[in-house]
Amino acid sequence: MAVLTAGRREGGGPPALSRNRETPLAIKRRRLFWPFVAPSLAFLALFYIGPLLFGIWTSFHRWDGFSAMEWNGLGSYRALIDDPFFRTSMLNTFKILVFVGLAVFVLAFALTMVLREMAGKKFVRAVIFFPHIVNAMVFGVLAGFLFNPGGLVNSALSAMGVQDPPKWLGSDNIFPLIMATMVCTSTGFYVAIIMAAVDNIPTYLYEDAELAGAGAFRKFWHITLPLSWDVVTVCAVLWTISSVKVFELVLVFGGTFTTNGPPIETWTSALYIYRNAFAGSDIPQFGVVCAAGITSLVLVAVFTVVLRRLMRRDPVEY
Amino acid sequence: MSHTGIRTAAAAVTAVAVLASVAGCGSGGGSDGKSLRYWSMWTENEPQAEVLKSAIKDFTKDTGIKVDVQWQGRTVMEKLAPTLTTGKVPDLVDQSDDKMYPTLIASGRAKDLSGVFDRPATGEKGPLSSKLKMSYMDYLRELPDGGGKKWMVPYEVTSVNLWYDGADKSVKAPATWDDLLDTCAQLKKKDRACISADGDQPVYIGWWLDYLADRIGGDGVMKKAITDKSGKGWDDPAVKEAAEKVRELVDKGYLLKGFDASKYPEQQNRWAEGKAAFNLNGSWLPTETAKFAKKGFDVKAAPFPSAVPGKGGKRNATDVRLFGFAVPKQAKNAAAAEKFISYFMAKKRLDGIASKAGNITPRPDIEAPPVLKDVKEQLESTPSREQMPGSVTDYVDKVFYPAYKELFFGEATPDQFLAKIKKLHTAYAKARR
Amino acid sequence: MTPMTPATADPATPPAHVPQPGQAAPRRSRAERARVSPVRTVGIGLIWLFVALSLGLLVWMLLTSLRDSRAIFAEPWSLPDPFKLSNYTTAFDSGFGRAAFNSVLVSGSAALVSVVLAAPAAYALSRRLNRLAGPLTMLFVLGLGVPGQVLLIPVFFMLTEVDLVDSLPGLFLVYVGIAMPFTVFLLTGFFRGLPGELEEAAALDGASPARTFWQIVLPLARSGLITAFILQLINNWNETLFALSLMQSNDNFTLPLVLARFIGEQQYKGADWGGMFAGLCLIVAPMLIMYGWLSRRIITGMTLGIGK
Repeated sequence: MAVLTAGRREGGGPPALSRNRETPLAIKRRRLFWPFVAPSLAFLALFYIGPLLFGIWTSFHRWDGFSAMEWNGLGSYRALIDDPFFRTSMLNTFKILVFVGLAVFVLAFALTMVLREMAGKKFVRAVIFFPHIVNAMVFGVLAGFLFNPGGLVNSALSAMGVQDPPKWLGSDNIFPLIMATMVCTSTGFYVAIIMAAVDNIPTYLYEDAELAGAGAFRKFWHITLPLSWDVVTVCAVLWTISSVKVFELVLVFGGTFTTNGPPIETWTSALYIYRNAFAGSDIPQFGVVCAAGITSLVLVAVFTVVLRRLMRRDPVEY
Repeated sequence: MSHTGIRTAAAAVTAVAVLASVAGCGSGGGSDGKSLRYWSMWTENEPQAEVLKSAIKDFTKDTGIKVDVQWQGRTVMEKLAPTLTTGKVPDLVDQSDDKMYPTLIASGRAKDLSGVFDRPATGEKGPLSSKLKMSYMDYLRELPDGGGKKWMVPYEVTSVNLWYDGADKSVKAPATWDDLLDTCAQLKKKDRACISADGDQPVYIGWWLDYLADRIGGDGVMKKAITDKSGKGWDDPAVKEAAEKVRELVDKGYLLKGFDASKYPEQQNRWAEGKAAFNLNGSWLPTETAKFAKKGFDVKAAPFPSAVPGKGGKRNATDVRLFGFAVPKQAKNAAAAEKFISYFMAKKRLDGIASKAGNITPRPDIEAPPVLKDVKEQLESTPSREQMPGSVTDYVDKVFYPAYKELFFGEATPDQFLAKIKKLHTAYAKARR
Repeated sequence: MTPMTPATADPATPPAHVPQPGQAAPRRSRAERARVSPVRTVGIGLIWLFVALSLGLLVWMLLTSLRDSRAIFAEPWSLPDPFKLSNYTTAFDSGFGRAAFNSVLVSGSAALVSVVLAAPAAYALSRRLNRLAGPLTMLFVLGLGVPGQVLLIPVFFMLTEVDLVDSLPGLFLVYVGIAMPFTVFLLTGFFRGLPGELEEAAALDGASPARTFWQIVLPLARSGLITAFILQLINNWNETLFALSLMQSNDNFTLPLVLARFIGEQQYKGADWGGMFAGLCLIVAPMLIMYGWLSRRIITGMTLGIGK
């Protein structure tokens, strides 16, 4: 992704126009720039830049959306720190980012390695990719049906003689279950990306390694991983972004949608913002809600920067 | 130079602008008193919605006022909240009083509906207030600007009771807490569960503590605990005793397995199937579980047992939760909305709530559905109290439930529960300052 | 890595490897295969098991949507007997019909307009027609990292100002706006991969740059545009957070909102799992059909543009 590679791309690429051989044609083309770019840029300004500035501004105010804004300095951010449920939601988001992320990557690589030479790999890829384009609410509801005390999983377990099945949807297990669901539904997407990268690795490298007597793990460690590192870095950033957005799955997890909302121990950053802004509890504090939004944005930014730092390697040529 | 590219771009922008302006014209109702917008807590296929729908049809026929109704479902207040800041409010909404309170009442954004109570219901004589059992409304909190309690016109009265199967010979209505424990112990010997409870419903499991605390310490114990900013209300010994009793139920294994991992309405359906003897629930339970009831199930309601034998009065009050209409202050068609309320509250239309939707109405002259006869009698003969008094949605979510579920799930002792709830209570009060 | 290739290229095509003369073609012997096999065999087994379970769940969901709720819990594994279409009638009565129409309308039009707006911009940025092209590209890319919930409140109040809350055109505008970073990013990469020679040839023939774009570049880029359209269509179809916060009238609900309301409704009506599964099928089926038809394009579009 360009976030990571833009720097390297500056000089290369298709016909860039250099100033010193400006032809009349080139000038005409240059005139196209603003008319071509302006509409998208306007939308970007309207739906990203403007709202972001407004969000930052609001986060420094006390505002119920109704009366005039009142300067509040860092008050909203202090309120967030004091709010145990903000901490819970951020911690949950963080857990998804790190734990689900690690699981997805380990699994995605394992699957890619196995799939690499497997018959029917395109079919498998298509099947495990599919959840990526389905609204996650569907999985939330399905999980409810499967893991209800009288649900499918427990009835299967009791048929197998398990008398005391775990409390799947109990408060200790529900969030881990949400994370497990996420692993199942997200891995396919990353398998597809990594598979595309691995397919670009010349096969003779593997053959040479085999001749040298390398096992599966060593092939992975010395060939696959280094040669797909760029893509892995991109995936890590993508995962960071998408994990902070998690919303639908938690909203209806277990097949419930009531006024109480999902249990508070499962809230994520997006849930925190949605519930506090619109859940009809007391007088809305939009300053605090916006501050929570800005905080989640900072989380994305910090993580992206840290990931890029940690994962920076010299590009491997082959 | 051809301007095709520019024109393409311009055309796209124009298209967007046109679409946007079309939307501007299309939305937002008029304020000519000939129409009103009603957002309902029911979804379109529920029996209450059917009753309201037919009333709306007649209303439009009789008055010429069109009703634009949106069946929002239970999350109607979540839909309403943002509109209060935008001014595009509906003219009429309905929900239970506690759900309406934080959004509409705490900030003083509901209209005082005294006029509706003073006028007769459409086609009747005498003020509406003379037709309703007005004492149901005693527990409501006042509008902050001194507007009184009449911000709501209730059309459905619910109450929480201990539900059981009258056809089940081994189960009988417990008069005292000890009776209940006895019955449970008997059932346990036969390897049957005594109580089913959907542990993911904060309020449903909360009623056990709520009822017990007031039964032990007298009316107002829970109200003080929840509403007193200092958090000292939780120190009342009655709360602790109630917590111990709740914990006893759990420790003795009287609850149907899965209560702590349930997804509503799983456990209440298991109750209807006869898997547990009792379910503490609202008077809507029979309708909700009808589909799952086993053959021959005779739904009966018993008052919550008394905990201190021999002491009566307010201590053994029946709790009440009202469902009804409210009108936001910013409503453009408030007069039309009030007209509709008066129209709906007339006996012959409100009767549908009892006869078709299977619920109790605030009008004593409307007969309760057969399953709820006992409950109605009880409501009209005993004093009433508010259930989970003073708790607004987010207090339950952020303070009560996180602490209480640990007690109810047998993970925390009564002392640990009290310590945690006091901590959360203080944090909550602080965030609201 | 190689420059981005058009999204239709098959990512799975391995680069050609020319065997050294005299060396045997790299075909592994049976013995070699056997050596790597134990872990792999288990892995392959697990993969097929997972695939079977996933497909099973999907099929089971479809079948269960045709069954009676009570029967579902009593015998979760049985086949529908008789087929019960009433679950679908229930779902349609609960507003799924109207919502499906809204979803198609808003998702489709927003996807179309976002591609129409993004294509020229992506072209201009990819051809670096201005010194600001680099920084502007970066600006669009940064937008990719902004989670929706950060924008939610400001966008809500912005739309309130112009009276576009609770209106489908309002939601349409939001979807177009939200789509910009990804669509521009995807298409910029795509245009970069198109050779510039044809444009130069067209210019020598005297075609104006705008006409060149319209008549030469766009047709060449057709597959990229279609991919961008489909990906946005999918995103919009599944979008829940904004729709849930912005839409209020039943007539303006999109499918995810009706599904959410339906879930709630089924709960207090006594867990009508049959109806619920019908609802789920209604939201999944269009995706499934589209996926069956275009899965290659969807997968490559989503992964290749990103992997490069």
